[in-house]
Amino acid sequence: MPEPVSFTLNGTSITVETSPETPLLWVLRESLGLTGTKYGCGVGSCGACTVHLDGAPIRSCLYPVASVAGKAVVTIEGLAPSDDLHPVQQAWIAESVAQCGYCQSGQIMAAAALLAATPDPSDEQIAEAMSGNLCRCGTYPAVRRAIKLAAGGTGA
Amino acid sequence: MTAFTLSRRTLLGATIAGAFSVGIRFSEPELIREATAAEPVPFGAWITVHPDNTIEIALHKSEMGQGVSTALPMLVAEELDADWDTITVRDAYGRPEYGTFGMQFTFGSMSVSTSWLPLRTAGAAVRAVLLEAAAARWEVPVDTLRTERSMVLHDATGNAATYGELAADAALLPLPAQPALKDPADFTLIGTNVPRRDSVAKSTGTASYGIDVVVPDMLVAVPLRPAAFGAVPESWDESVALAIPGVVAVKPLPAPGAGMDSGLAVIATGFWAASQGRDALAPTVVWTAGTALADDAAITAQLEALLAEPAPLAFEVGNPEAAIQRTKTRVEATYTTPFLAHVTMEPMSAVAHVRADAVEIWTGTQAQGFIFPLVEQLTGLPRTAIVLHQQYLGTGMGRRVETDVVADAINLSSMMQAPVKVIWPREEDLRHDFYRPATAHAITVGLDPSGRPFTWNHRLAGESNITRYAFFSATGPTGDTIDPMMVSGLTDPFRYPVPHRRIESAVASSGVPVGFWRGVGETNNAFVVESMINELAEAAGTDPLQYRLDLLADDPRSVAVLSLARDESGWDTPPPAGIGRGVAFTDFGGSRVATVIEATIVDTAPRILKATVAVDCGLVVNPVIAQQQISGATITGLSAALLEQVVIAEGGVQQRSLAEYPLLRYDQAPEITVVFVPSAEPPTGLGEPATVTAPPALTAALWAVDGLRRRSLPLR
Ligand code: FES
Ligand code: FES
Repeated sequence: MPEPVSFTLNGTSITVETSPETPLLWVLRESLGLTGTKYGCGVGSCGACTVHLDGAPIRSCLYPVASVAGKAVVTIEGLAPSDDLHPVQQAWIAESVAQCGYCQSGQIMAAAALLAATPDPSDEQIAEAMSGNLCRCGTYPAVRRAIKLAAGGTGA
Repeated sequence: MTAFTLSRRTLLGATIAGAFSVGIRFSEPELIREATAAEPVPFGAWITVHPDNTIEIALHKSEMGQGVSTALPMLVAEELDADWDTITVRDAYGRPEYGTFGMQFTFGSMSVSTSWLPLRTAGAAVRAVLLEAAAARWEVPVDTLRTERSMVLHDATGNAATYGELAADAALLPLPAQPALKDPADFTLIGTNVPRRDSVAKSTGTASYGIDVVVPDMLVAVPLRPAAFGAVPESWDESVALAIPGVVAVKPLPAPGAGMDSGLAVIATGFWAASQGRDALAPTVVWTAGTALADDAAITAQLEALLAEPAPLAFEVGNPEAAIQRTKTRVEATYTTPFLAHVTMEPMSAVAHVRADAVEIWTGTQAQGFIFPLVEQLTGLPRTAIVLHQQYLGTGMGRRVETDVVADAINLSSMMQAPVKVIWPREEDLRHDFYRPATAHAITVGLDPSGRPFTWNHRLAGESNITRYAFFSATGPTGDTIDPMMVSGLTDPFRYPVPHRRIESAVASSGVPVGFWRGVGETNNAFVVESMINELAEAAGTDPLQYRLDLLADDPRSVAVLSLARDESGWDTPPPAGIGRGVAFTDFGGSRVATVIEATIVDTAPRILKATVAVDCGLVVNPVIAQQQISGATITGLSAALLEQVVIAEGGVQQRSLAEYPLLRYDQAPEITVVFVPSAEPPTGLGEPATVTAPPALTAALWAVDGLRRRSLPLR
């Protein structure tokens, strides 16, 4: 039965009425109309649904909405703090990462969480952070360049 | 973090306003060419000039990541001298000009090559009438005028007019059929790294895919199809699904096409409720027995049986039977490839709203031309009553050539008398795909005394697409029906000169549905041919790259590509101990691609280190997009070679989730270097060729490490 669940979404406190076991992914996409977060597998294997929960990257398909009560959720729609795009988004555009684009919200959210925690990541740290995000178009080399660009390197 | 900034407002204004998710159809018949100054002026199929001087360009191909929404408008804008910053792009249907071979679709790596002349000609023709209109207005000779950024200029008098100001006059003039086209040396847009028009939308979560569409009062449906192909639901208990809050109905779901599976659908207010309903319903359904072979062992046995007997003749040149007797050195091998799933990143999805007198469809499709007749047939409504709102495709891979999910949406919207979004859960998507055929190949090649292939006898067996798409079938030299795509790259043009060749192809009948997977028949055949060439090089005692150079010496473009791959990969410098290098080559629809892979083996597991891909695809329209395509296709090929296999068990696909169907991940992907041979030749395809060279280059690299020939994929 629907219950109210309150959390912070992209900086704004909200309350949704929904069955509490509904995954956060579907609450975002269907109850709140934020379709930038994607469904790819529903079992935590693809990363298309990646959002930030209190700053950490999580698979929103695996989190019942009740489990985020009182916490802060940030989605791709709320990643940029102002009118300017987030540096990771800018690097993504500068490096022409996206092909079909479907996985890219998840890739960008995973990369932004990595750089927030580790501003100058090693290749191994990038690989660890990004290997949960599948891309059928094979954009991985461009993802690597863009993360390095956003981290202040040359993008090489 | 770096401090460079792009303003969201500027970027959204510049790009998303021109985004392409809104479908507008041309009305039929021919558009009216007369217009007043205050109205947009259409010129033929491709270009509309607006009074504010924005130029609207029709996009007849599907944007599935390959960059057509940037590359195709570039062709028009180049010849038109349009201001790239103020063009808009919209999806277009309903005119014969949008067809390729009579049908509007996006597959086969043909978008740029088939558009190269028509779209440039369209741009040049409109530029010509705009110039004429200005010449008449200013009473000056046409050849004293020039064009720049959507304006006509007369330098001697300082006269200037925008295309928008001239359009109404120009529309009264006949469009020249064969306007002069630019010399490629004069291109200012083509050949440059024009940023993709979809980058911002796809980096901000604002790009709209079929799965994202919301229509007022829309219901959401998920299918439940059988675990075993061909099984039909006999009885079920819908009350368990209806007990889930939000579930509205359970309906029998018709087969979306001949040879496809029927099933049930759970319709709800949202995906989660529908999916919960599906999970509750599934154990209550009694299905009839399936119709496919039981498992991989049975499928393999069928392929082996087909290989053991003479098969329909697809191609023959020379006298291979006699020639083989004359050769002393022979190489014999058997190769097999598995069924592959497409796994488009966006699972199958479509929205339909069927009303008494009109139908609207929102989906990302590769098959615009197939959807209209399908909807006519399902609804009985005329074509003029059907509106398709093309969305971005969350990967195409060949899966979105099929229209099954559109049929589901139409059927369910008709039943529910409401707009319905159909989303296939990933399990349905994996288990009801149209798979890349599994194949088996038996080959004997005889070498001449110099070590060159003298005769090539090749029999293959596998599922065929002509079972569903009869119009693709062809007749072999002795009258048999054959599938040209199944033998593509084996018949003519064959990329290596071999005087005696015999190709037989047997169509298997496993009951597993098959379709078109990025690269189609070549994904199987190039693996086999290129692996064989590597084996022949070994038998001839020649370096495999040099062996290809020797065989292809008559084609300078192939030689140039192989030489570039040799230089860029450092081929002539031996790799460190424990690392192997392998090469493969293709000529795929005119695009020459040579891939060099460096790999090693860590605790029996292959590890891909580096890929170097040299390409001659003619003139490169947009180098960044071309590089993306080659790099991405290489990863797709490596993913298939290393990991991918659909497992058949109990008459259906065993895998139910992406956890059970691994795809290549970030930490498994190599560094990739892509290099292009400079060329002024007309462009050829880019989406598929590098997909087919990666697997044989990888197995060759692993052979260089441990001396084992890997003749069966995947490798894991
Ligand atoms: S949809 Fe959540 S990980 Fe795939
Ligand atoms: S860009 Fe297409 S799946 Fe990643």
